[in-house]
Amino acid sequence: MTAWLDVDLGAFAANLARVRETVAPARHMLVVKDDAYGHGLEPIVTRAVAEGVEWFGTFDVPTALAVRRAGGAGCRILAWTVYDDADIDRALDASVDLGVGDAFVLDAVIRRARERGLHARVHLKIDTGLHRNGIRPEDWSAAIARVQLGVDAIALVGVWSHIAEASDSEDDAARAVFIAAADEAAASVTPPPLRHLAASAASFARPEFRFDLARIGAFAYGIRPDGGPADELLGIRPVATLCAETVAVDDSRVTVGAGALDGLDSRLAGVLRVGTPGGERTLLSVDATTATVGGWPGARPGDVVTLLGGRAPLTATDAAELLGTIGEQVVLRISPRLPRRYR
Amino acid sequence: MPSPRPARALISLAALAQNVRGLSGVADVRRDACGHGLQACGPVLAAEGLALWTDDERPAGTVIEPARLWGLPGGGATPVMTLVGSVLSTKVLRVGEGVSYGYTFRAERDTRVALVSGGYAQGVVREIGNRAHVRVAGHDAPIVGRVAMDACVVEIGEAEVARGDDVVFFGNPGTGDPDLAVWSDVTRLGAPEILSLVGARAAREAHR
Repeated sequence: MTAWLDVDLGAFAANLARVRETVAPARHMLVVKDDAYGHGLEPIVTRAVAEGVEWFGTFDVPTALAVRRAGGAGCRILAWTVYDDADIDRALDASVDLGVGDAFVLDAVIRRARERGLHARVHLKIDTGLHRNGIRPEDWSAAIARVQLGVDAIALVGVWSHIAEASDSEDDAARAVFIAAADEAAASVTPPPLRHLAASAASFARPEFRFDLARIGAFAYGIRPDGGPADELLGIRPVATLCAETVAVDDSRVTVGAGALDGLDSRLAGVLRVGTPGGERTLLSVDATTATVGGWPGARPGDVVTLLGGRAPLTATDAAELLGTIGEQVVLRISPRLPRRYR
Repeated sequence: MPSPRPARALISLAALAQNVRGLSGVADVRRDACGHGLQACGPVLAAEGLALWTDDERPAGTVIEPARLWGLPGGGATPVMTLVGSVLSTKVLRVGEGVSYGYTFRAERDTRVALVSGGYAQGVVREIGNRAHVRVAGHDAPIVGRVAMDACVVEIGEAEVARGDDVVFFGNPGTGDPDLAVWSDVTRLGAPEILSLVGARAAREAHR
């Protein structure tokens, strides 16, 4: 392969330490959705466990099972979504906590755990305004009543939500809804469920949003928010760098072996500054499987060009800001077919 | 009631064979057949008499236009890939309430929304939030609010939509599916680079 994703596990470990000290005394739930944001699930989980991370968050149950395999019996894992009864069974068998955000899934988890004679650990989600997954506030009391009737089969161990980050005042309103729901749950079950509301940005910027657990993926991978504080202010470093080898050289430009089909966004042509052995150059064009950059004296096939990320002139979020999107999408659009090289 | 599933990239091998029938030359199947899956698509193209341009080797001959091969917008052929998500849940949305990060959509009247599997990690490009629609239960439903990493929200109004229903993000416009051309127009991304990532990250299923 003439292109790869360089993953700096030392930078990852440093970010984890930064997250831990920032959110303390709340604990860090490392979010590892989508192959750990494309960084590679197994190496990321293995390193995170070695660095003391206890909680992991996934979108689906299969990823949660992969975390269990890589991270061992000691991790706590929350899978956010239940597709079917097979998911519930596999979660029960692997001691994976389940995120539940509607009455149908709540009933399914209770029924299935009861049929199996097992106890499911559930984090019940209150909809505080995003209107995605989550029980609407007017339906919350009924959901808590269902939980109480199902105590033989489930343990309510968490209450959670996502916030919109539209404005501080709207987030404050969401937080008030969240606290009311969590208080009602705490008055209904023993011990009181854990509370978790914030992801990366709010966990760092607003201490009152941290509660018991901070669900942080982006900052752990060194992906800062678009338009937000700089990496240095946050104390994080991008973990991944998209790299490509020089495959051809002519008078004024160099061709490298990564293209649009590899996830180098074609819209970055003409605007992205990349790193070459001769210094920074502009990304001139993006073809299907190759790209061209401005040449430098002595350029030779095999020379490595850093296209974006921690070891490149521009980070994923810098590139995202050129495109009007977010760093997470830029990183996740890098093809999973490219090899990951760990350092 | 069927259970919902993660977003799936359905690959029609019949459409692929039809698109190249009678043509000769070279089929560009680099990068896992542009996300369509070399393992399933390669034998179909070889059976139609085409040479395969892989990541390792470029045979001599005229290269068939990718738009014709994969049925991309403007190619005059049938789209080979259809991206399908599932309804995970439905709920009411009251007038004035927002949807997803930043509340970039607000309900102008009481309505209903569905949460759908498929987000930008599966190639449902984030920029199409509020700018494209899906097909669900026989209705066109707009994607409302920002597309999230693994899911998005569509407005279903009074349509009879239930957990587990298929949601077509894009497919064959000739049969009423949303058109990938809208995604290209909105994002300025090329259709091949959209499909390359969808095929790599969504669950891919090839059908005869």
